[in-house]
Amino acid sequence: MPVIISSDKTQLTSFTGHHSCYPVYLTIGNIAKHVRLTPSMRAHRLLGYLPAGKLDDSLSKDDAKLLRASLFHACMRKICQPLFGPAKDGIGLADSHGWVRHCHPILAAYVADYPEQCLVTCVRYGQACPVCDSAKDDFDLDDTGDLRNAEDTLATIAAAEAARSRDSERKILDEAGLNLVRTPFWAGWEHTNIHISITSDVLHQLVQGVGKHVVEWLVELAPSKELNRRMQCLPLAGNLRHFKNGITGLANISGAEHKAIYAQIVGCVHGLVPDRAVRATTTLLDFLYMVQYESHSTDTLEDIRSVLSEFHDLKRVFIDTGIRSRTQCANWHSTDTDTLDNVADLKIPKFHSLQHYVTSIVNFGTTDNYNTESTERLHIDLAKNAFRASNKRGFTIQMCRWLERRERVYWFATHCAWRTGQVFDARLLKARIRDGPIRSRHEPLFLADRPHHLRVPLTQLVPNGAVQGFTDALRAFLRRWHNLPSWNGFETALPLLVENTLRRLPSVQTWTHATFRLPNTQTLAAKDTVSKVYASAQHDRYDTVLVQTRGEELVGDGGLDGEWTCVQPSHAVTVLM
Amino acid sequence: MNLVYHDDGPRVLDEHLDRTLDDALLQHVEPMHVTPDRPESPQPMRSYRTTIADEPEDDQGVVVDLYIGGGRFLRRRRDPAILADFAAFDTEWGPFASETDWQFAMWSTLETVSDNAISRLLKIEALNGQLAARSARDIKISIDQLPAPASFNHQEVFASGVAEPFDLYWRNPLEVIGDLLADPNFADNMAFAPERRYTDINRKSRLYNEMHTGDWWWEIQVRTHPVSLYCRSIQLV
Repeated sequence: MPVIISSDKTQLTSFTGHHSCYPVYLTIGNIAKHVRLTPSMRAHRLLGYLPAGKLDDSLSKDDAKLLRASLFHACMRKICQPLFGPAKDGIGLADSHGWVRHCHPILAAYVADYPEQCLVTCVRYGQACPVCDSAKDDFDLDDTGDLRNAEDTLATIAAAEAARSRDSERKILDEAGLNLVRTPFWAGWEHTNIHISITSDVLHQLVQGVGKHVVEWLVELAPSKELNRRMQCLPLAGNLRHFKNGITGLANISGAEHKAIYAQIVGCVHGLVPDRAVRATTTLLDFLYMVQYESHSTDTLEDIRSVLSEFHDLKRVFIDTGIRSRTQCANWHSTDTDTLDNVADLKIPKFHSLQHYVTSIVNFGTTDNYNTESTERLHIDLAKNAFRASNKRGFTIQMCRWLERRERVYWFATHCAWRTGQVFDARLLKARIRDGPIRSRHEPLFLADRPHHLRVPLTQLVPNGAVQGFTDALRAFLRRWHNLPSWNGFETALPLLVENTLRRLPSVQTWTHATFRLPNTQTLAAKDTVSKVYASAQHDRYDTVLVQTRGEELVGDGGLDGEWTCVQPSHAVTVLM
Repeated sequence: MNLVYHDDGPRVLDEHLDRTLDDALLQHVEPMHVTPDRPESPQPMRSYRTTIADEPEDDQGVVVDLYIGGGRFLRRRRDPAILADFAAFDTEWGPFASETDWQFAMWSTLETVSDNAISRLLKIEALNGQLAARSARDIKISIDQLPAPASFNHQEVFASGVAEPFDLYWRNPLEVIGDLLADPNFADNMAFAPERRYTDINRKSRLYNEMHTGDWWWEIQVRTHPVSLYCRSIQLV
């Protein structure tokens, strides 16, 4: 049974950083990933709050760091200890039907950002990779070192402890890039290799990491005025943030904003920066999107590898143009420590971390199984809301009580729903009918019950420019509806009755937006993807919709093969009543 | 990653054993059987007993190798936890006086309304007599009578050189895992044994998506439950 643990220190209050807490979450890999990723299903459970208080100021910086590390490991050890015995010998645990199964709870993935990964594996921050034995000098190579092994790490630490002098202790640790932690919490956890369990982290390593750097460099390379102007010119599109003030002035860019930038920047920088830089960015973004596939095959993994090596071939452009060293000087005083003392190279831990994605996917399934994005979301439910309910003094115990009480309520609600053969939906706060393994089918097109405009005269619809060729399209539709034949380009007239109605047709009802639900073609059990399309002057947006008009194939299956019709924006949402 | 791996399933074993294995297989495997690229198939498991010899020739559909030894249950417990935990209560609504009381308690707890707001609401004359609870305290007392999932422990941790102890709040991970396993909300979406999925019959192209389709789980399963027959193939069409 794969246990997935994640921990991340978080601020509890938004502006004043007085209160912080250090929650540890647990979930199990048995649960399908789309369920695990839905926060309202509560598949992640709070395992505990680690001490997050401030240390004495009297301690030196190194001592404080060491104390923090040993404190973390001591606490985690205390928490995880009950699993060590069962991991070795197995234990009988009952599932929801009452079947008892023989389980070995083994640490599969430790989901964390880079500083936490280093803390967990006792690896030196910024100097070494928590997964393999590459040192800092190799961080820009298209290569990985030998994978680290938990036993070797423990042996090294033991050797350092037994070392005669302070110097030889330092030497042993320096060579391995480790920190001295007496007993790491995972020591003695059977079958657990902590270094394999350090999984790739799409949010911090790619979206907020490598991608962020590359965008920074591009922004620096390109003339900012022109870049902003191009960004502003882009049309609005579904589910995509539009930067109406350009991107160069943005500060504290969030993950969602980064994703929107990645989707738009390549087209905008073309011609403004060297072609090689555009190509390097494209390959990197390809990598970023490909590793996020929800299902991978041997072929797509091979594609990832080739894209990555292509990026390594092209990356020199960022050094040659001098941009890497320029942004470094600008960041000199920033807290981003991975840019500190390396000048004009790409020896950044995040760049090295790209090498480990394929291994992670092969070992633990696709990256959405262990993305930190889901745990960041947990902070809201399990830490921040809990804190808000407390009176802010001695809050941790109040947070525990608050959570416990909520879990009692959830459990009883689940029981009540279960009694009637339903499931409890935490989002609706009521029981609903069980979906079963196969997703319930929704209507593919959803329109609001009430039209957004009740009576729009046809005469107004046509000239305002938004809806072109409406009458022609309407006639064509009616002709097909009545099965009227046409030959040699000549069309039969519509029946007189229809013709009369059309002539007298006073007005139509219109909708300004509609919602499409498309099945997720990558994983079956996952929910439909929902996209909203607009066609309104009010939103200043007219989206284009592609509709498959022939064939029974699933939408999106096999790309754009087959019969597709590009629907004029207006038609998608103008419905004749 | 070198795994012990037997391509062909069991030839003919003891028929009884064979059937038990099949039953066990169906028990844990069925809910998760989804093909990533053929969602429309009405009957995902056409023939779970196909072995290499009689597999159809066409390369349509996904081939799945299942680890036989994994995830089998040991014995039947009488009641699932979702039932047993509440067996002590006489009434349908447990510690609450009525369904309305329970609904109100659930709403007030999960919506994060402040205690004072609830107490003030309950003091409104017009609501009198509709709820048994008189204040937020009453609601909390009732809720605390409900069976709890894993509960928190508190411990003070002393570090050398620091006078003040650190507070650690934690709960037993084994209990937390037990809660997750016993939660009927996940029942339809649980996997208990590793599999290897392939997009073709020749097993040239591996498929990775859920955690149990990765190599790690399989390797651990081989290490913890080495059994003489390793896998059996099924084809999803």
